[in-house]
This record gives sequence, structure tokens and C-alpha cells, in this order.
Amino acid sequence: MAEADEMDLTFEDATVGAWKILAVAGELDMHTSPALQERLDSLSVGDTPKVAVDLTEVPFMDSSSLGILVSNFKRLQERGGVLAIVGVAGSPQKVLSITGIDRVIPIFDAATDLPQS
Amino acid sequence: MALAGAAFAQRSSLEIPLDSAHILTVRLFAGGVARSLGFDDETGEALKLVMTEICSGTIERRRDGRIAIEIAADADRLRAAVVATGSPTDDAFRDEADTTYRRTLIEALAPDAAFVEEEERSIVTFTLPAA
Repeated sequence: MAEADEMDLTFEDATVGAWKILAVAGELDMHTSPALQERLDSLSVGDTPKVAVDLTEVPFMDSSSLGILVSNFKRLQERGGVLAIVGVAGSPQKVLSITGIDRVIPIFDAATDLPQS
Repeated sequence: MALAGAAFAQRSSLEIPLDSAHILTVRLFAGGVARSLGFDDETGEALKLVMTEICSGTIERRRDGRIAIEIAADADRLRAAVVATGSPTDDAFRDEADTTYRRTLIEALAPDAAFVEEEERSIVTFTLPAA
């Protein structure tokens, strides 16, 4: 079920195989990104968690949100899990590309492309 | 303000409190100004990102002040200035990784960005070419 946060940032959880998918809708900046961290905390439970952040409906993302994605990627990796990004395009894709994070965090076009093995 | 020489009729300005809740307003302003001055969407998106990063960095470094933004067209470039007032905050609260990403994004999109940091105010000026 979707939940609204400040400035119409919404989150929706789903499960696809072993992956927990967090679909985000709205703009991610230093004001809204703490809500993203809270949602990632709630999903990153259990052994070897696999979490995918779906950015299909995110038209804007800044460096503070990028920092949250990277820190959670490292945190999950340390626990034997993984964080992936799904559906990124436009300005957020450019942010990932300029910073080189698109070569660090695995990125997939759609949740159905996530590896299930 | 900080954009000396820019034709007055071509300047747009916005002033906000030093508060992250107003960063969305900055993006709406920047995108709208870029569009009204005839710049394409790619330039508008770049302006929104650079403005967001500059304002976010300023909000982390200062408190109890305001941010004044000015944007003007200069031939085929956008010229912008961000002037912030307020008391400096403790550097210890800054996330080093975020600061590195922020600097990387600003340098990539606005390589001529110039930063002046004083006790009572900071000034950032930059230009963006039309994409």
C-alpha cells in the first residue's frame, strides 16, 4: 500500500521472488531523503536481504539521496545482501552516471529483470 | 545583487529561508526561469540540480539566515548567483560522502562555479551553457 510523506513523496512495497521492492514516487532531496532511509531500514531485515529501489517515478534525485543509496548498498553488502536500483531514467540517471555510482550499484530496467538466483 | 552586468529586465530573483523545506521551491523557480528564458529542458534540469546542490550545501553550513538566488540570461548561457547569510554551523555534522558527491555534480555541470566563503555570508556564482 502506498504511503505519503512530505511533499507528496510516496512509497510502495512489493515482493518479487527473493527481492523486496521499494517503489518511490516523488522528488528526492535533503528534505525528503530521510524518509527513504527510514523505509530502507524497515526493509533491510533478516539474513542476506535483497532490496531493490524502484526509481521509475522519481524525476529528481540529489547527492544526499545518492549518499543514502550508497551507504545502504554498502551496509547490505556487508551482511551478504544486496541493494539494486530499478527503472532509473532522466536526471537521476545522470546523477548516477556523473558520480560513477552506476558502476557500483547494480541497475536494472525493471523489477522483472532482477536476478532470482 | 551578485549578477553585475546582466540586463535588469532579464534577471529573476528568489529569496528563501535557510531551510531544506524550501529547496523544492528553488527547483520550481529554477526550472520555470530557464524555460521562460528559452532554454531547453536539459539545461533546466541541470540548473535545478546545481541549484539544489548549492542550496543544500549552504543549509548544512549555515543557520538562521536566508538564501537569495538570482538567474539571468547572457547570450547562450544562464548566469546564476546564490548568496547566503547566516551563522556558520559546526562542520562535524556534515556527511563527507554527500559533500564529495555534491562537489562532483557541481563541477561536472557548472565547471566555472566560484565559491566565496566569508564569516557572515557565502556567494556562489556559475554559468550553464545551453545544452
